[in-house]
Order: sequence, then structure tokens, then C-alpha cells
Amino acid sequence: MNKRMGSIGAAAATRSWTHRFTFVLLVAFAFGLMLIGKPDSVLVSRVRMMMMDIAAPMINAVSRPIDAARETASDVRDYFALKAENEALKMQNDTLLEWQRVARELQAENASLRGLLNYQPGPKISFVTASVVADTSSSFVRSLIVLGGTRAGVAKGQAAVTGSGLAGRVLEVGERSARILLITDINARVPVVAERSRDQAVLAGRNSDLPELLYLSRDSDVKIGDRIVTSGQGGVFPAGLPVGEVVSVDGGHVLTRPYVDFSRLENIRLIDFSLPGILLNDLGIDTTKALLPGKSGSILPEAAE
Amino acid sequence: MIRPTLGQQADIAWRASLPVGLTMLLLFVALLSWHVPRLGTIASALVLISVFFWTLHQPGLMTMWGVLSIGLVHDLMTLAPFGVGLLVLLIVHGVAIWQRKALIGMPFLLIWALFGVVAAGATFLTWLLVSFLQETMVNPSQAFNLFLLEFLCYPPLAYIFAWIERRLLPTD
Repeated sequence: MNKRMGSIGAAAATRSWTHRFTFVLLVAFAFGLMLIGKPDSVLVSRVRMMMMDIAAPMINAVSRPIDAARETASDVRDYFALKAENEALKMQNDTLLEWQRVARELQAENASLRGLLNYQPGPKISFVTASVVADTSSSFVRSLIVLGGTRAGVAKGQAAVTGSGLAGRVLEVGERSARILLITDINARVPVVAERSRDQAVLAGRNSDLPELLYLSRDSDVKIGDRIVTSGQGGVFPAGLPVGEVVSVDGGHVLTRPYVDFSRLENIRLIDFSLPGILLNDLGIDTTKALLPGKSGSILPEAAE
Repeated sequence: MIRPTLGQQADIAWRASLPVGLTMLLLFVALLSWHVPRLGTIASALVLISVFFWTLHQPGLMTMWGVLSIGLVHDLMTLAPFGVGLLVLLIVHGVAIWQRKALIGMPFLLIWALFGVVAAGATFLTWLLVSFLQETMVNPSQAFNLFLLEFLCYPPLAYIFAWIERRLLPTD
């Protein structure tokens, strides 16, 4: 009897040790993954995008009812705010019409000056509009997943912009989905320039809402409220894309608030800038028509596939 | 001995996969684009709480292999340095298994406090590893916010998990 009990005890002890040994192996495996999975690892990036390609359409399907519910709630809110919004829109429309007039004048002037200079325009810029399906930001990373990959013409390094300004750049691309690294991420670096003082700097994300301006010259004249736009250096982004506004100048630390509201991103435009140029005219759209409602130059991923 | 029917086997299987399945579901739901500021941060917190709770209450259903799969999916879905989430979840699982016998009969407040200690350690380790792997000092306040989120989310989630455990899961 005792012999039998002893053998059961020995088996349990062996099982317990095997269990502990396996656990230690798994911890070692996790450490191993860290070493091979440094952010620039091609293998990890490929596996990540395969996973994302499978998950993104599913996440999108699940989020449809949520989006519908949110839109209904938003519609109800809009209904009650109709009158005030109408007034505001009328005023905005007046301003926009004035802008349209200015833009037409400038367009004509630009065309005549280009004719005088015998200017060779750069190649047309291509862009894809993709919907945001997942917010994979955490305390240590700021990124999004969009539904649109190589099949729709998305490529690594493309600029991700919204109507408000620069949001980030394409970091990884799968067949059907892509990951956007936001300008607020700690790994994001964007060459920028202060629009008023022309001070050059690098916008560096800090994993917070307010990225910092680095490498400003000592005699720089950056003030609170200054607009920060891309400088075009480095060749990733074109010059002149709106990025944000300076909100704090404290000694050597200059913080900016991006124009893009990252919590409300629904669609994002991924633009391939082979050469600088951001005028709508350069996007292959007639600027006068682009101002009319219902006209859009976007290619939705569904349509492009 | 009566063999369970196919229906019974399926019933047992889905109940047994509930802790790991629920954790995965929480991860994906938290990643949805809810358009709520800073909600993205919540995915890691929910996963950590779920792994700790289920390891403590149903260690047979939240095994190290379950934690391995959750950790891998978490690290692939989020952009954090690969392997960090997995390592931290494995360590939390290990600590919960190690202290399980001492913790299981204790009042809830004490378990909550001890979870706080585990979460603080886990967040500190994550911060340390991310800073080391990204070769830059990540803002510590971000780590502190994550810890606060984990600590404050524990009671409501533990309440829901306990309800699910009572209603749906077989006793040990």
C-alpha cells in the first residue's frame, strides 16, 4: 500500500517539476521573442500583418453595428442642433466662397506664371481613403489599423492625413490592412517648420497628446499659437502639410497640439508623395468642383479592390 | 461508465474554453475603434485582469498554454515590442499560481490589494522592458496611468467574471 502511495507521490512530483520546467521554458521563449522581435524585424512585421489581414475584416464587421448605433445617436444630437448649425454653416459658406474666389484667382495667376517660367509639373499624386477599424494604441504605442492594403495601392511610408492635417505614416502593410504609426508615437519623427518664424525643427512623439519640437536653434522665435507645418526635409512628407499648433514654450521644451483629433478618426487618406505638392489641383481634381457637395476624389478600398 | 453524448462534449468544451475565449474577446472588443479618447489603452489592462482572475479561480482552464496564446495575440495586435506582453502575462500567471492557495479564501479587498501589487510590478516591468527595447526613456506617467486603470477596473471586472464563473463554469 505504502509502495503504491509512494509511486503516486513520485508521479505528482515529476508532473509538478515538468510543469515548472515548461513554465521556465515559456518565459525563456518570451525573452527570445523580444530579441528577435526588435521593431525593425522583417519576420515579426510579416507575421503581424498576416494576423492583421485576418483580424481587420472581422473587427470591421463587428464594429458595423456599433458605428450604426453611434451614428444614430449623433443624428439625434444633430437634429436638435440644426438651427444653430445652419447659421454657422451659412457664415462658413460665405467665408468659403470668398476663399474659392481667391483660390480661382491664384490658380489663374499660377497657371500664367508657370507658362512664363516654362515650369515642368511633377507627377500626379495618388491617394487612397481607408476606414479606421482598430485603435491599437496603448500606454507605450500610438497606432491605428486601417482597412486598405497593398491590393488598394497602400504602400509603406505613405503619409496618413485627414482634412485637419498630418496624422502619421504607414508603418506596415498587409494585403487588406495597414498599420499607421501616429505622429504622437514615441518612435515618430517628422521634419517640421514653424510657419511664421521659419524655424526648422523635428516633431517627436512622446506617447502623449502633445508631441515636442526637438533641435530648435537657440535663437528661434517660436511662440504659443504658432502653426507648425511639415518642412519637406527627409523626403517622407511634402512641405507645407499642417501638423499642429504650439501650446507651450517652457525653456528648451516646446510642445505642440496636433490638428488631428486622434480619438475621432473614422477615415484617413493615405497619400503617396513622389514629389512635393499639396494643392488639390495637383491631386488631379478640379478645385472648383472639389468644393461642391458630393464630389470627392477618394478611392475607397472596396471600390479599388 | 456512461460516455457523454456529442452535445454534452461540445457543452463541456465551450465552457472549458470560456476563460481564454473571454480574454481574447475582451482584447478584440477593446481594440475596436470606439472613438473614445484613450480607450485604446484599456486592452492591455483588461487582458492582465482577466489572466490574473482566471488563473486564481480556474487554474485548470487558464493554463500557461492559454496565457501563451493570449500573450502572442496581444503582442501581434498591438505594436508594443514583441514578446513583452507575453512575458509580463506569463509572470502574472506564475505569481497567481504560486500564491493561489494563500489567496483563494481571503476577503475580496485583500485580493484586490494584492492584485494592485502584482499590477504595479507588471506595469513597472513593462515600462522597463519597453524603455530598454526602444532605447529611450518612456514617459513614466503613461505607465502609472496604465496601473491606475488596471487597479480601478479590477473590482467591476472581477464581479462580472465571478458571476460568469458561478453561472457557467463547472466547479473544481
